[in-house]
Amino acid sequence: MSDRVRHVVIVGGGSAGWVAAARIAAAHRNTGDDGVQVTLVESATIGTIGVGEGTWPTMRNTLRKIGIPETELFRSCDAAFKQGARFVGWVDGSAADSYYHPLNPPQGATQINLSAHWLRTRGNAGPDFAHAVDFQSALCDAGLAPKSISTPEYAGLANYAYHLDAVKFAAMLKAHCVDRLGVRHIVDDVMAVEVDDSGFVTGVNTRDTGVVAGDFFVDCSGFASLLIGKTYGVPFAECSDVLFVDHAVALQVPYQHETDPVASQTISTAQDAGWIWDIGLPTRRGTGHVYSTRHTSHDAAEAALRDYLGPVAKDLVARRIPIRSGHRQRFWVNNCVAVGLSNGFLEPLEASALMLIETAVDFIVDRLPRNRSVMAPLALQFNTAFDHHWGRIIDFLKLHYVLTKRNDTAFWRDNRDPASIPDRLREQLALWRHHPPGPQDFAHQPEVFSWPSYQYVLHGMGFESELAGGSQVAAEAALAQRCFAATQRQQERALAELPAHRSLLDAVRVHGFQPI
Amino acid sequence: MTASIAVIDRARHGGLRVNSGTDIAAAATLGHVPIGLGEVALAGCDYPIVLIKDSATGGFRLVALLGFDAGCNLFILGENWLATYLPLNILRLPFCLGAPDGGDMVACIDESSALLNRASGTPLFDADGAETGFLGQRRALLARMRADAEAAAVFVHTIVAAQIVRPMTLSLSFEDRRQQDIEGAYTIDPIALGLLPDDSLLALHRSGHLAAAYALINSLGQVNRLEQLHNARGNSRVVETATHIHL
Repeated sequence: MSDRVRHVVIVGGGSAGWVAAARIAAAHRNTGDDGVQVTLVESATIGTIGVGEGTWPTMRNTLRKIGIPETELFRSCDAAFKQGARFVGWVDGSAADSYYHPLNPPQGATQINLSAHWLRTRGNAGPDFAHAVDFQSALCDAGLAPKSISTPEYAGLANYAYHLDAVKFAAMLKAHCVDRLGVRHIVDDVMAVEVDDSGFVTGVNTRDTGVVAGDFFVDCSGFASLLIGKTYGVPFAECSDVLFVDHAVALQVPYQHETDPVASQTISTAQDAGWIWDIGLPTRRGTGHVYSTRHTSHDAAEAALRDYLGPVAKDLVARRIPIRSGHRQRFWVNNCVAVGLSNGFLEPLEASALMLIETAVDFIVDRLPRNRSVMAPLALQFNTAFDHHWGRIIDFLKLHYVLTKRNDTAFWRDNRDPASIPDRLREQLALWRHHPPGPQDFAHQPEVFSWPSYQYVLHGMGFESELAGGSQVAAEAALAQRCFAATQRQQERALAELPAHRSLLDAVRVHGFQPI
Repeated sequence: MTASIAVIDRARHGGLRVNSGTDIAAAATLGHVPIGLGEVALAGCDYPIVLIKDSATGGFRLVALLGFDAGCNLFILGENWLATYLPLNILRLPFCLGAPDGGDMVACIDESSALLNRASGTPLFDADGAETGFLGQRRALLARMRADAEAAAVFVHTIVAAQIVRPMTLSLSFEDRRQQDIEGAYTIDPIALGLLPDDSLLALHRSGHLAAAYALINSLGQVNRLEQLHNARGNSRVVETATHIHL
């Protein structure tokens, strides 16, 4: 067939562009008649945003499929292990206010839902939910790594993701794509997009290289959204009525000593009108204050970040980044699909940016359209899935805000205004007062945030419920006690066996991980 | 280095003599011993040869298994070593290479060894204070072993890079129906080896690594000898020993 897709053109070269190029090329570049050529056009003048520095555990599979050894990630991207997030000051702002959302699921999650059992048995002095049902929070407390140097690459004793330098990450992927995966790399500015009579993109016209023709286009052009936004005019659906933050101010700070511990969880600390992210790489900490200008000023926000960091940030220059929370109304039009910031963006509260890039690319690689006739059904599937994903992510991010008990500032009070809470989230919160979050609440496959994530946040934030009196609780009590005891044993073993996070990062640089 | 290991020194070790024989006391608690590439053919006739990971670096080492437990050498019964081939890392005792100041590796001696004394055995230095031929031979042995350990490291690197190494489980079935699975050893998957492209196989053959690879594979039959020696000690009897290669 003449309209067979043989040439995929990716417009934009940030994390989204290079992840897409690497995954598509690694899976589809068969030499011979069935092969697909991948070309990436990258602007020489537009820089990458480069603040998405937290991944999900899915990144391990993505890198493995691309063919990059895990050791290379650590050596090239200043990567560190991420075992989840710790939320500080989100509940009442008191000194002891802190909870974990670890990456491990709760103990026995395929057999039993521990919510009610934990509520009934914890007593007054018992461990919080995250510590009671899984050992990973204790690893984070102790500053330990999720694996040891003799654990094979991409495997762990505890589930893990990465913190990394996003600029170096894109550079590593670029080198891999060009040197090993046969991706054609064009550095040039796109001046115009060429569309045929049936509305399909046929090529992008560049300043120096001329027309780069292709059969299928991936729009990774960032906030510019050259194809989906500018060419096809797909409207942007804002959600600033739900999620209020609209700016970030970022600072990279050095460690005082090169032997200082590296946190293996993202630390998110609530502020008067937003929150501060704190991400530990072996070489530096990446920090930033995400805030709402409806509730504070740029100057006050930067001052709050500097106050959080102390003297270490004294002479460092901060960078301000506008955030437009929301997503396109459609993501795939004809032979063009948006991946990354051109698809949508939300505050980095649960590191969803890179994960959504992977989710989109998984779909595209799995069903790279063979010809024009399949574009419409694939577009429908993709658009339906991403509309669902964005809605659910907005719900989950909002969950962190609506459960607060803080009354000290308008930002936190406004976040509890029922008018700002999406209907589905409100209905589910009403349900979860009497039934814990479970698989039935999350029927979509794949579901980006499922019931364990909701459990960690609900119980971490002290969500008030009637769960402890459920009729199933007595019947499952023995199994629940075994799960709590198993968590204790795993915790003791892990604390005894696993190395300090920084010492493992040092060892990886020297020795590397074995492939098996 | 342990505290009792010292660089060989004329002033310190002038009157020292080494009894002949195997350092049974030092070897009795070894569950495995590193071997060089040149030892694979002979060692494989007595011991299962596998790869295990060094806990400090995560890197693979080529070792002969001496028992099922980390701290028990089944090949020692009384004062006897029940095998025909003695691994050089046992034979060399009480000598070893060490780098006491973190510098170059030099010949050292374990001053706590039961083979050392001042009355009988072969002296390290003669009456004039010159090194004896015996000490010279031991130095030469240590140097050969070091080169052979480097050859083993090249072999290990080659087979790991060729993606033919797999984790294995050693499963013991005891007569009281107890089961014990021993993890942590790695071996070569013969199917993966057989599926290598022709040029890779030829390169392995020319470098001597193909013969070593098959020696490793065939040596796994020696787990039956470990079972035999285990049962000869009157322990809880093992009725079956099986190796499973993970794919």
